[in-house]
Amino acid sequence: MTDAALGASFRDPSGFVFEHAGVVYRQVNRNFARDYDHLMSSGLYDELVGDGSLLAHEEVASPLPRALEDAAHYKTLAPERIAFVSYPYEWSFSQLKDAALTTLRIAQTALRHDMILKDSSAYNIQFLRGRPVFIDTLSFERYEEGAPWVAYRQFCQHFLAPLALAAHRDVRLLQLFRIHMDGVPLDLARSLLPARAWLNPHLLLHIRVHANYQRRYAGDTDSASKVRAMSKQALRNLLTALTSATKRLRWRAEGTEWADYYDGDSYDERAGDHKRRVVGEFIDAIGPTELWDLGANTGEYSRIAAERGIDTKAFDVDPACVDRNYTAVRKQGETHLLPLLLDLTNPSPSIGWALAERDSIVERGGADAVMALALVHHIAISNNVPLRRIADFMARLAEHLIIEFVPKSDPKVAVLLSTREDIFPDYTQSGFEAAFGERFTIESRVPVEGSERTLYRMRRRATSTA
Amino acid sequence: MPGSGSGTIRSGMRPGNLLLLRPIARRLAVGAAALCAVASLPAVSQAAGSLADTGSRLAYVDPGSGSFILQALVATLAGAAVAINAYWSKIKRIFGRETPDDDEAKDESPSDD
Repeated sequence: MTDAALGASFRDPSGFVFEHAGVVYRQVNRNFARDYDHLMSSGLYDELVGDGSLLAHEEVASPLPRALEDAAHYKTLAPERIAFVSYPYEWSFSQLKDAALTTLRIAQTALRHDMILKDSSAYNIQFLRGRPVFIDTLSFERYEEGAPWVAYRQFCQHFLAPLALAAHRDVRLLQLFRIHMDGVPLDLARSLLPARAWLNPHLLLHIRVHANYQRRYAGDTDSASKVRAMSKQALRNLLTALTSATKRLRWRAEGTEWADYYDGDSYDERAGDHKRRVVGEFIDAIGPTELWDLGANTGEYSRIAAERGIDTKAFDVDPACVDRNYTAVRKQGETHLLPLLLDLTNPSPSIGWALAERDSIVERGGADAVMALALVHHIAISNNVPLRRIADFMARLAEHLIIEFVPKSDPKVAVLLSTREDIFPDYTQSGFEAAFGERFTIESRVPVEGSERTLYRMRRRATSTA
Repeated sequence: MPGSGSGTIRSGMRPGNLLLLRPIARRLAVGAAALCAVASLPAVSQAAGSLADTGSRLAYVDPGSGSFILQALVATLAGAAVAINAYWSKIKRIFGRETPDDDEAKDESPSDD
C-alpha cells in the first residue's frame, strides 16, 4: 500500500505529511533541500525547539518504502507525535492571540538567522503541553535581501482580522474560520468592524487600507513589481508593528450571559465535595490515558483527570468559559489540560477540499473516556435530542462514560422547563437508564449527596461499537 | 538630561498633564503619518528599484499585489512610530520620568489579560 499524503497536506510544494504504519512522517522535497538544511545548520531549529516553540523532529535514517519510488524525495522526518489536532474555530480569543504572538515571535527569531516564514497559517499552531507550538518545519525559507513578507496577507486574515472582530464586534465571529478556510477575508472584516475600530491606527492600516488596496491593485502585478525592495530593518518594523497591533486587541471573558450563568453553581458545598470525590473514584476505576470532558465549563472537574496525568480536553460551548479555562492553564503552567470550544448540538464537521482537509471532531477522537456532567438536560431538553440519540453519540466517542443525570425536580431543569411545554415524558431516571442501557453497561451508580442528581460510570457494550 | 534650559520648561508644564496627553498625541501622530503616507503612495510605487531585481522566488501562498504594496508602507510607518516613541521617551526623561512605557512593559508576557 502506498502511504497517501494526509488530506490537508497538498498546498505546499516543499513537501508533505503522510502516515506509515500508524506513524506520521513529513517528507522534505528536493526543491526545498537548501532551506531545510539552513534551518538545521543555522541554529534556528535548535533555538526554537530549545524554547519549546517549534515541534521537534528526527530525521529517518533508512528511507521508508515510499521514498524509494519518489524522485522528489530529499529527506523524511519523524516529528514529535501530536495526539490531538485542534483547529482555530475551536480556540478561544486568548488561544488565537497566543497563536498569533507565537507566530510573530518565531518570524522575528527566524529573521535573526536569515530565514523567514513563508506562510502564517493559524493551522501551523497546535497547543501541546498547555502552550502554542509551531508545527510546520517546512514553513522556514531562506531570507533574500529586499524581499517583502509573502505571508503578510495571510497573517492579517488568520489572526488580526478575527481577533479584531472578536475584540470590537462579537467574539462569536471567531467561528468565521469554519466557513473561510484561509482566514477572514479582509473586505468582510472591514464591513463587519464598527467605525470605532478605525480609531486604532493598526486596524485602520492592516485591515481597512489593506482591504482597499487589495481591491485597487487586484491582479496589478505591474504596480507590485515597482515597489521598492524592503530592507531587513523594514521587515523587522513590519513584524514589530504586527506584534503591537495584536497585543492591543483585548477581549474580557466577563459579563456574557454564559459566564454569569455559570457563576451561580447549583451545588451546595457538600454536594460539590461529594461529586468531586465520586468523579475521582470513577476516573481511577477506568484509568484512561485520554479523557474528554464535554460541557466542561471552566474545567473544575476536568482538572481532576488532568492532575492525575491524564491528557484531558475540556470542551465547552461558551467562549467565556473556554477563555477563562485557557488563561488558568497558562497561568498555572498546566500541561495536561486543553480547553476547546465545541457546540455539541453542532460539533466541528469535516471541511475543506473533498471534506478531507480538516477532520470532524469524531474523526479526531481518541479518548478512552468521556465525561458529561450536568450536561444531558441541556441537550435533551433545550435542544430536544432524545436520550437514545445522546447515548448513540456518546458511544461513538469513547468506551467509558462518566455521566450525570439531572432529574426534572432539579432547580436547573425546572428553569429550562419553566417557559415551555413539558414534551419529555421519557426524561426520567428510569427512562435515562433504559436509553443508555442499550449502548452501555451501567457499572456504577452513585446518588450525589445533598442533591437529587445521580452519577454513573458506564462501559460501552461490545456489540454496539459504532 | 538635566540641562540648564530644562528647568524653565519644567516650571511651565506639568509632567502629569503631558503624560495624559501622550497616548492621544501618539495616536494622532501615527494617524497623520498614515494619511500622509497613503496619500503619497504613487510616489512609493514609482520608486526606483524593483522586486524583480531581488530575484525573489514566487510564493506558493499568493501574497496579493495590494498586500505587497501596503506592507512597504506599513514598515515605513512603523519605523516612524519607533522614532516618535524614542522622541517621547527622550522628552519624558527631560521631565524626570525614567520608566519605560507601562503599556509595553506589561504586554511582554503573553496572555496577560
